[in-house]
Amino acid sequence: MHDTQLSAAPTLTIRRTFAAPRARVFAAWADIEMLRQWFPPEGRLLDATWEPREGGTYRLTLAFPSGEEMAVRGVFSEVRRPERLAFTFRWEEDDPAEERDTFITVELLDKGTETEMIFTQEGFRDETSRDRHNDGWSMGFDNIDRALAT
Amino acid sequence: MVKHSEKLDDVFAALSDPTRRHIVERLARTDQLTAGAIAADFAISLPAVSKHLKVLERCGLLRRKIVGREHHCRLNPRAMRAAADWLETQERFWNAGFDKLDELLSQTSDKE
Repeated sequence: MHDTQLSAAPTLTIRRTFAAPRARVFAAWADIEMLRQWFPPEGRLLDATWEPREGGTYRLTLAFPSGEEMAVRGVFSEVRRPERLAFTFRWEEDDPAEERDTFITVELLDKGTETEMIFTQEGFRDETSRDRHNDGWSMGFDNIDRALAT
Repeated sequence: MVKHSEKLDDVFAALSDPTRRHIVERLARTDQLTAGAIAADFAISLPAVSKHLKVLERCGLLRRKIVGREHHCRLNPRAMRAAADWLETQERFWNAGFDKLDELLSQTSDKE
């Protein structure tokens, strides 16, 4: 069961319900051995440091089926077991000037035997510009796209 | 992974302001407007509007043509498309991972 929403762009929100209790879903994020089994979506994880605690850092090297290797890194700003994780997410580029921080929040809602996950990724330049706008990107690209298409 | 990210940063930063988002939406509906018309619309001063328009112009979202004393503004769909494409790439990446996670959780939950 999933529902993806781009209408609140440029914030990406993905909602999913998993058939597992919340502690288990949290572990799938917090435990590197579990993370390894689903992240990345294709290929596999090579080197990995993963310290899911406030202020902890991570760096994951991914090998894609094409043979390409890419690394992503970031810092955890919030880790609240078993309900919430927040961290920066930044793909490394040959030219560091091309790298950009995005901000990811994973929220887990206890639904008994199931868990609802609300995943949010924001593409703001920095925390200041993000915080300035908690009221957000409510008016979206969708409208604009539609208008431009006509 | 994503090219022209600096420009994208600027687009996202430009759109983090509600007045600028409204200006963009307004332009999306009307194709072309003068700076004066936009100022009148939002009940803000011309210099304030001009500041916002400059931010939108710098990141590529807005094109401005000066005709006599009037500034005609219109949106640049290309810049908007780049930002939407970036989001779609992220979406595909994560959804594929969550499919795998879903599978993993449904396998392991039986054992507990």
